[in-house]
Amino acid sequence: MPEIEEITGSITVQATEEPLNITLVGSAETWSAEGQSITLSPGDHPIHYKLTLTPESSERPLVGVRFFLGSGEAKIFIPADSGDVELNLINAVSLGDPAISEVFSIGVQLSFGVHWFEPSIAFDPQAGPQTI
Amino acid sequence: MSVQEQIVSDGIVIGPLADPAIGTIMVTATPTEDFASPDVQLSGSGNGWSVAPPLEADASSVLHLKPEANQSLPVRYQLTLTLAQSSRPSFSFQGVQIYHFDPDQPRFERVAIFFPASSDQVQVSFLHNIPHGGEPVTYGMSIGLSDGSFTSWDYPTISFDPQAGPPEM
Repeated sequence: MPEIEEITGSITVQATEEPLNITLVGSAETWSAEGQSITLSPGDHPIHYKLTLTPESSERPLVGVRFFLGSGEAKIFIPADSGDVELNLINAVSLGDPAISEVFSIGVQLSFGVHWFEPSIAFDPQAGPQTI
Repeated sequence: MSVQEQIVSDGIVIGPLADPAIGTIMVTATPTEDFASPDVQLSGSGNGWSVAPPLEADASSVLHLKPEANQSLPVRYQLTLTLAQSSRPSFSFQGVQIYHFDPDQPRFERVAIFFPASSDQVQVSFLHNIPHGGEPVTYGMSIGLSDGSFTSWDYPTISFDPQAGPPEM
């Protein structure tokens, strides 16, 4: 496997009960979190994105994140630590490849229980560096 | 940790999620003449899961997740991969990647979830919710081991197999 570049960042999770909604906020040069989606750009090497999801309100801590990876019934679960979740994602999509979109769910502790919101993550090569 | 889960679907609330089935997978790495490809063996078993050794010399291990007949779904597995003492200090554990399994390109991962190692251990958690009679799901996994100058990746797979799970009523 070629050299892996590591990029760290933080995403704020804004969750509301009425209406039941989630908004992701955060961005940097090679990634962005906006509304209900995260977009990750590729690089010259595979990129290890280390993104920390943090709730906007400590009264609505995160429980964890579930990844579906193509199946709704077999999931990878990343439990929260003190209300935050650290996502570690490898983006090895090359420029020109089709974009890959993954659905994941974020569990937020609300007043009536845990609700699982379902944003998406796009590994989008079109947002990557241009080929010279 | 006991996680209370509520899945709201069409007004139906399912939950809570049971405590995880906890276990340890031992990772044993042995140097070979090809420094880039150490011999990696996984071992371990527990309630509803087991690791099967490779069937062929150049194949990889398979982690089987098969709920017991009396287990209610979903089953949460919390498994810790630990580098065997005998493999240290020749190797250090870098982490585990999990990705879509493509039988045509089983070692080609473009998008993966990465679990970095801490103190030669990696903890991974899975949720198995395939009902009895459903189709098994396979994921690819790669285990990164470093000899100090080079990181090699071994490629076991994870099989979510429902055949041992509770029958549908």
